[in-house]
Amino acid sequence: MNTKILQLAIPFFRVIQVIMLVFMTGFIGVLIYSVIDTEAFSNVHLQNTFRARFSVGDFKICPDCESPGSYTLSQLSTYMKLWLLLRGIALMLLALISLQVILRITKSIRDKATFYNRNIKGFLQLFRLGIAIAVLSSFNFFIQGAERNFEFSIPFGALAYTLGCRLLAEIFIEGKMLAEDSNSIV
Amino acid sequence: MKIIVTLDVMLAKRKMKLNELSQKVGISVTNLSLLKTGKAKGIRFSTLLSICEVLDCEPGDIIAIQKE
Repeated sequence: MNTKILQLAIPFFRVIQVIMLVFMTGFIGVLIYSVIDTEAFSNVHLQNTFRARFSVGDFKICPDCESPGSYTLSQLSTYMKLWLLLRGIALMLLALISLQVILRITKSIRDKATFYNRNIKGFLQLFRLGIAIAVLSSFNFFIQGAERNFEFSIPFGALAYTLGCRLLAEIFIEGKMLAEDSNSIV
Repeated sequence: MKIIVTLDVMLAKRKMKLNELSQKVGISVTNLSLLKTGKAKGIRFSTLLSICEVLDCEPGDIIAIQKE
């Protein structure tokens, strides 16, 4: 087993976790502040924010730019900001928990405890989290004054990831059975 | 039909304890115990050879087919 890749993967996942935590803290802080002070962040443009996909949208600091389908944070109603906040927190939390589970499985494989029950449970947990991510990223809406928009799309990426996790769980179940068989041969 | 291990019979014939066999063969008592009680799913040729050498017997003396 190539332990070098595993040794590299663990700090890599940790760095991603830290970046996500920092981004999440900033995202929550900015949105909560924009709810308190509705005129704040008038130069922050949101692009693709209300599209149905696994993303919280693109935040662009740009004082003068105007593009169709783009809104400034100060233009949004409080309800839309709250929706944006809740959806963003849910997606990021699901991604963070998934990353934590992936990290746990990677450590377990590094410690040569590969085909163990806790890894099978980990992949099944990733499968369930993947379903939640797929459901949450399959729709989005935008209601602001007279403008009403609801978007639905099939999240193929999230579904492929979810299916991959389920397949890996099955592979690990088979691996556990083979390991038990091998261990019971004297 | 199933395969049964008659290691206990051979050990009794040779007046040998499982501990002693374990030391001479170099296999843990736990594994030999699994083999003796029929809980092991299989036996490697190398293990079989070592046991037969120590007990001075043929594989057929410690493995038999039981008709149901």
